[in-house]
Amino acid sequence: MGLQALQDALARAIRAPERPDSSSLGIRPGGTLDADGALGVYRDGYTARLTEALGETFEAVWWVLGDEGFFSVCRRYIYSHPSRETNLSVYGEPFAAFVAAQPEADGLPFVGDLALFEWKFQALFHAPAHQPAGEPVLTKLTGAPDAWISIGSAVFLFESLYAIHEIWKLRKQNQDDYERPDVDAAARLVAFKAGTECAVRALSHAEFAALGALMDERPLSEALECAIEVDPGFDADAVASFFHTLASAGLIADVRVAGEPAR
Amino acid sequence: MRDSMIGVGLRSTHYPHLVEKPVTVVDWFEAVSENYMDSEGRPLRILETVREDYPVALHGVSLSIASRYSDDEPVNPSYLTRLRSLIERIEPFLVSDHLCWTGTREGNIHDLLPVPFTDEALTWIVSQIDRVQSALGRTIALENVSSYLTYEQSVYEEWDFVVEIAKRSGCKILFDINNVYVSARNHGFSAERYVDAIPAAHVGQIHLAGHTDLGTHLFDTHSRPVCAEVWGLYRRAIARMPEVPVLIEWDEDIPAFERLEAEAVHAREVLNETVGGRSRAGGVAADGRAAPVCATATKTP
Repeated sequence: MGLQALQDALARAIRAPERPDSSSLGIRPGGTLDADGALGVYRDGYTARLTEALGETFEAVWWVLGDEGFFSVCRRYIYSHPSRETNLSVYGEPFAAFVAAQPEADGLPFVGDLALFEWKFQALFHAPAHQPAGEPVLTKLTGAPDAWISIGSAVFLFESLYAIHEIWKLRKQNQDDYERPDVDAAARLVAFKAGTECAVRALSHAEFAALGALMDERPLSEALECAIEVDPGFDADAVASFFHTLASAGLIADVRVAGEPAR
Repeated sequence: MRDSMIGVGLRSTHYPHLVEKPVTVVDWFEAVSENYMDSEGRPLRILETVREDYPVALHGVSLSIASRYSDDEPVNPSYLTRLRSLIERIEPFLVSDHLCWTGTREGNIHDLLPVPFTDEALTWIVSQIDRVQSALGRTIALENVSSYLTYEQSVYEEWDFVVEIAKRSGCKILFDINNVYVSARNHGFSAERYVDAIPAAHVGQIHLAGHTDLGTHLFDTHSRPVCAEVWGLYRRAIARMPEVPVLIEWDEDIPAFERLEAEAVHAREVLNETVGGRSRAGGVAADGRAAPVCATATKTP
């Protein structure tokens, strides 16, 4: 058997859900293992390594499903989704849709959103941080309703019908001792990178709408109109609080006022 | 330049300790390339912080040098581009990976799979090393792996295959002495014979680690201290190659950094006992960003 044929056959045997026939692979087992046992070392390592990678990314989903449920889902996912990347931390992109459709998620309608949030959060962790705008740039906002605010690249918005942030925060808690959140409380979140640390903040419906408009590169005046559209009570105090959130979290990368050329 | 030999693996468990910039007994760190080449996250910042004070070696696990792809698409260009970018950023004194394959075009197994020791594999791997070294613009080192199976079609002893790869390609050998011991026990060959067969001039680095005896076979877990038999093989090896940088690996059940340092201190003591007052002029430089390559550290005394 040539090198490529051998590698293809062995790789298929390692990835196969059911124990394959190892007799045609020309294996000499090590130790006191038989050929199936020697192959099993690599088969077990394959699922263990990918399960570990999924567990690191989807820590809260693991917490919610428990060991047995999470490992069952992982096994099925791994056998149906071979890793094609060299980097294990990017394994699992379609996991959110997959886990939401599994029987282990019955009665847990938030699991898909939770997994999607965790996937986006790990991507944020690895993303380059943007440089937050400093005081001289921020002061351009004063009295400039037609300003454009550029939101930094290390930011994402997340909206769910479920209390994703509250559930996500439980992942470090003891399974036997935690306060159960109201999972049906809708969540509107902004996740961002501050320096090398990632953080999450809950936003009001109006703030979420305004920030979304800014991230769509719409001018500040339109963003504030979006906020008022979803919450007519979004008044001057609310606007000031919104700007405080943007500035204190370092979400603003740049400010451009009317007449100033785009960078 | 200082006489600098013993390193440890950079692991996230120890980040909180290392960012405080403590005085340590280690001379250099080895970082797993893939943990940093695809991320602009905190780990990369920590690696750069460590690099301010220590020489760093980059050690990959996904090069898959022995994967037999088609002749017109032999290596993963994206992987090499990202690795080269990390190399330019970190300026490591050594870049290494494993003499193994980790997957096929259909998917990545994420394991260090053993190579059949055949002429076809030898020729292919040498050609791949040439491509990789050209793409990276530098010599790489390849590590002998632990294995739990071999192939009926193999026609070389493992040590002969490893040496032949180094001779034909010009790459260095990252000589993992624990892996020699694990594979020797699993496959019934003499670990001493393996150690003695490796020419010092081809060795760019030594790895030491612990393994686990699972009853049916030894498993390369990197979860325990280096065992007495591996220390014995280390003595045997460094008597011929005292200038080669040595690394302590510990990847599972990782202890406090101080315990890792104790293992490094022991490696240094064994080295000093073994080579006595003989000159060790090579090693790894800590001065400046660009440490010298290990080629300067592989002259036999």
